[in-house]
Order: sequence, then structure tokens, then C-alpha cells
Amino acid sequence: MLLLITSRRNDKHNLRQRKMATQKSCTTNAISYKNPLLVAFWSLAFPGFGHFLLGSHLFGVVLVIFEFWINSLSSLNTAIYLSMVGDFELAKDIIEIKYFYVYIPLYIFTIWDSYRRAQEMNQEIQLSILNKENDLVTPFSMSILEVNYLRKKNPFTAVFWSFFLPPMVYIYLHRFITLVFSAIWWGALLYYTNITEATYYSLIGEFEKSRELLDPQWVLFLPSVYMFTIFDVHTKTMENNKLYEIELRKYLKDSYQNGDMDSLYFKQQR
Amino acid sequence: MSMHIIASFEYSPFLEVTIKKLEEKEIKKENIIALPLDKRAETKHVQESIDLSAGKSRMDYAFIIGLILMLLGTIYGFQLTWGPVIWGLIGLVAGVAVGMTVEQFSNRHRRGKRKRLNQKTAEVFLAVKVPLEQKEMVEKILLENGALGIGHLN
Repeated sequence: MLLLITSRRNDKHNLRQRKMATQKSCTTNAISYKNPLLVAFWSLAFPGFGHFLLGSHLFGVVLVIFEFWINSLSSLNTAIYLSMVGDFELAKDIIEIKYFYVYIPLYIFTIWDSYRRAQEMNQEIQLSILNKENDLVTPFSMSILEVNYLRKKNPFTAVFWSFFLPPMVYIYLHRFITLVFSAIWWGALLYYTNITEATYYSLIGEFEKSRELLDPQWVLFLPSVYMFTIFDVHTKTMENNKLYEIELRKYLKDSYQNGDMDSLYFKQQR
Repeated sequence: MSMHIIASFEYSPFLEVTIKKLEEKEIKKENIIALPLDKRAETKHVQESIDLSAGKSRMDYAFIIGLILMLLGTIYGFQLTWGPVIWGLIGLVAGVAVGMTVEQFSNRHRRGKRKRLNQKTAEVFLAVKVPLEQKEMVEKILLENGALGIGHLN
């Protein structure tokens, strides 16, 4: 009976835990301190990426798909392009008001929501750090499909690879879910932008041919998605390394500080 | 008769391997003390935020300005001879360069310190109490597994 009560109390205690990371065999998710303005900036660059950066992958992917979908339906990128090059009349003609007025409130909301989340998460992290009894991440986990273990990763290696084909670096970071989500929009982008062929023709000097292949509506997505994926990879690598240090430090403090070093100081007396 | 061997390490899997190897050689857990160091920081508040922010990124501005200039390069590239791809890439490289420069200047007062922090530094001290006859063997294990330096006291 007593055992039952104590174990129940332990359960209750565990429910109050704030973890900074969770590691399952196929993926890892972690939170770390982030500047809310930085998060808001990425939401501004591309709705959903702010959430993605904070580890809120599910809401992030919904918002990213919304952005691709409504932006295409309202021809917003084409309108932005035309406004930037000074063709305002055509821009007014081309934008679909029906969808544009769906886009605006969700765009603003996304920026505000990611800012709010970042602020609140920073506070949760403070609580997590201050609660010394927290279990942190498990350094090793395995299932029938995958093996995941916590190791330091080199941020320069990660960023280097991500310049060529950004989403593949999520394999290096062992983040399956992030990889799948990222691969969805990267696949769509590579298909609809024709960017690989356009790059090829640009490099051999046939600029006209390259320009015909590109449509501003799709190409304007590319800089944000490209830079974000590299940034995200960099952030997640740094997060992973910090997590490794925190975990190892906690293990060492818990397990290897039971002895004493008195004999170092009391040599003369002996 | 026993002696103390003290070694410094970075946080790495080698450190764990070292400890397990020592335990395998029948050095008791009580005779091994690991002392992780708190990293140097100016104030407690900063200490906390650095602890949590997964290391201050030196790249934030580079990514942001890189993105903005890449976007502008892509847009106006449609009007220019070289096309959006080349101008987008030019924008990217220019933006990253500008961003890095901004970062260097905005953190000038911190730069020297940060450089030192980026080098290999002792992050954990490991003190092992061993019988004299095991000294050679323990030192060999420590050095083979990435100890940055060792010292001993009879």
C-alpha cells in the first residue's frame, strides 16, 4: 500500500516536470532560449517558420502549407514582384482579393503568436533550469526502426552541407519529423520553381532561357525557405551540443561527486 | 599507499569512456570525482541566458541580411541581364558578408573574450585516487582518451 502511494506521488511529481528536450528513437525535439524578435522575424519572412524554430512543428507545418496555398491562390508573390519593379497597375489587377483578405489576418496573427510563444517558452526554460529535480534528456534510445543517441555535432559541417540541399542535413541531426516536413515543401519548390535547370542555364550564360523557366510567384518563396532551413539547421545543431553538455554535466554531478578529496589536504597529519 | 591523478577534459563521449574504463580496472566509484566547471560569464543573468541559448550564435545577422538581399537580388534580377539566379546568389553572398561585418562590429567589446572561449578549453576536471602501482596504467588510459592535461600528487 505504502509502495503504491509513493509510486503515485512520484508520478505526480513527474507530471510537474518541464523538460527541455525529448528524445525518441527516430527524432529529437528541444527548446532553447530564443530572442522573441528573431522568432517574429522568421514568421514575417515566412509564416510558420517561427513556430518551426520553436519546436512547434505541427502548427508550423500547417501555417507553412497555408502560406504556400493562399499565397499561390491570391498571386501575392507576383503582386509583390510587380510592385517592387514599379508596375503598380498590373499588381492591382493580378491580386485575387477573395484570398488576399484571408491571408492578411492569418499573417499578422502568425507573427504575434510566434512572438508570444517565444516569450512564454523562455519563461518555461527558466523554470526548467531552476527545478533541479528535473530529469533531462535520455542520451540513448532505440526502437525496432531507429537508434538515436546524443552526441556533439559540428555546426560548420551542418551548415556546409545545407548550402547544397538544405533538408538533408536533418538526417545528420537525426530529426525524422523535421526532415519529412521540410522535404514536403522542398520537393514542391524544386518542382515548381525549375530552379535547378534555371541555375544550369544561368551558369552556362543563357540568361534568357533561364528567365523563361522562372515564375516570380514561385521563385519568391525560395530565398526565405533556403535561408530559413540553413538557419534552422545551425540553431538545432547548437541546441543539440548544449543539450549534450547539460546532460553529461548532470550525470557527472549525480554519479561522480560522492567521494572526498580530504587526503589531498591532510597529508602532513597522517 | 595511494596517489591522486587530476586530468582536464572537454565534454565528450571520450570522458564517459575514460570513466568506464577506469571502473573496469577496479577503481572504485568513490575514488573518482568529476567536477564540471560552470562557464565563465560576466553576470549571473548573462550566465543563465547563455546557458539556455545554446551558445550565442554569431550568424543571426548574416542569415537575416542574407535573406533580405537575396530576395531583392531575385526580384530585380528579373529586370537585369544576368537574371534572378545569379543576382539572387550575389545578394546572398553580399548579405552574408554584410551580416558578418555587422555582427563583428556590434560585438566588438566581446570579441576578444569570445575568441578565447572558442578554443579548446578544460570543461571538466577528473580526479582519480589510485594505488601507486596503478599510476602508469591510469595515466595511459587518461591520455589515450583525450585528456587535455594531467597532473599528479603523491
